[in-house]
Amino acid sequence: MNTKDFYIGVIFLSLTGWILLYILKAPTFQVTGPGPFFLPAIAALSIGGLSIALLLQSFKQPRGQAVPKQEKRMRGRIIWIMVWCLIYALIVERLGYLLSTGVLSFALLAYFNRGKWLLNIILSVITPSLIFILFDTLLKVSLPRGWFGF
Amino acid sequence: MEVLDKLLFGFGVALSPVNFMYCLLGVFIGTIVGVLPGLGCMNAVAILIPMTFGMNPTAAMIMLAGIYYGAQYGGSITSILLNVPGEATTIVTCLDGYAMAKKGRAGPALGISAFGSFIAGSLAICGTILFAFPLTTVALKFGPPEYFGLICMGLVILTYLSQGSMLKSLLMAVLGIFISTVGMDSMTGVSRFSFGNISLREGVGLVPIAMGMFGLGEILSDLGDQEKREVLKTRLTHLFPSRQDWKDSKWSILRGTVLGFFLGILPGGGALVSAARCATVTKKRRGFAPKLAGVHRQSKQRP
Repeated sequence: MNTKDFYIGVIFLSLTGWILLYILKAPTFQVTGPGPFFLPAIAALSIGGLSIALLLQSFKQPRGQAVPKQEKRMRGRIIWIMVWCLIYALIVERLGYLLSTGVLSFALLAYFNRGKWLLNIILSVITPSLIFILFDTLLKVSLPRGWFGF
Repeated sequence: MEVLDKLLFGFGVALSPVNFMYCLLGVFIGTIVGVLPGLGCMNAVAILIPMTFGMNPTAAMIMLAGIYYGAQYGGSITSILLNVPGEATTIVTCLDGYAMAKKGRAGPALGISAFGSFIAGSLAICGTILFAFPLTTVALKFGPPEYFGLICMGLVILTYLSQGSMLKSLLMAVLGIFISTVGMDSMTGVSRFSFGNISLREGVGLVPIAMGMFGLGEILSDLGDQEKREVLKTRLTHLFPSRQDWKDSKWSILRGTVLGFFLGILPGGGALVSAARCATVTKKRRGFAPKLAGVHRQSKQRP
């Protein structure tokens, strides 16, 4: 069994279930035509069908090769970045751009640039500040302000 | 004949030394702003409009057009050098431009991109002026069923040309359709999958997705790559394409011009559809080469 394809199939099948559940729970509207959830439903059913096909295909395929140690380490790094990106997406509107980007920069630098605490702190403060000055102050592109107003 | 006279008159005005200088200045400033990822051409123009206050209206229009084109080209620079598309339209540029940059041919990639854009843009402007009226009547006959057919054809072509598992390609195409449904429904105003988030209510933008996929993807792939990156250390030389470069890319440029011209007149289609179509057609013509053929072949020839 190809475990990689199997997990991809499971993830997308779960996504299908979630979308369909969302659509079923959504309030109905008296509208002409198929309604606002017609296309998402079609997309969800297509994703479901293709996921099942992928799952079935994964059973027929031979097992993939063992993951090398280096790749495992790389996966750990990718997961670390993805988790922090997710946290960033959740906190950026609340804490504001400056603070949340500083936190994200420090978290990533602390992981990839271990031991150099002072440099990491300086970079985490200076980089978001410079970007903030360039985009928000000079170019007037509004960046999220958050609870603290910056 | 009258149209031709007006076209020549327009060129005469645009090419006068003062207007030409304003155009050059606009392109220069637009390129600087366009390099900043996520800002986009329209934002660049909007931000820099105050610069044209107090100017002659013709010169101001020329400068704004220069800013627009400069910002568009700025997106190509980041696509080629960093694999981060500054604009949705430069996503396709990443595919081969970055491949060339990695092989130390960033200069010719930037040159071909600039000259290709200039040739296609100039020819398209002439074509639009000469054939505007008949083309408009054709464009207006394009309704929702025709657009639906066009998008379906695009998805089928993309899936057909993609490498690896056909099943996964289809899965990704359908996932893309689902992501495009996030946000407010244009017919009923109902908010879908937004969870009360104002940003999500506006839909998922193509530029953030492209930047995440290409830019973040590049960063993530670099984490596992032990080789040292040479792209930014490489000196940008040979910006003017060589005779061989022209020979290799002339058909791609002409194909892009013709396709871009006809797809560009369709309302709502935009430059992205044209760029993607041209990329797929070029790829198809070169016999399923892994990258866009014109520039890819060059990068192979000159390591």
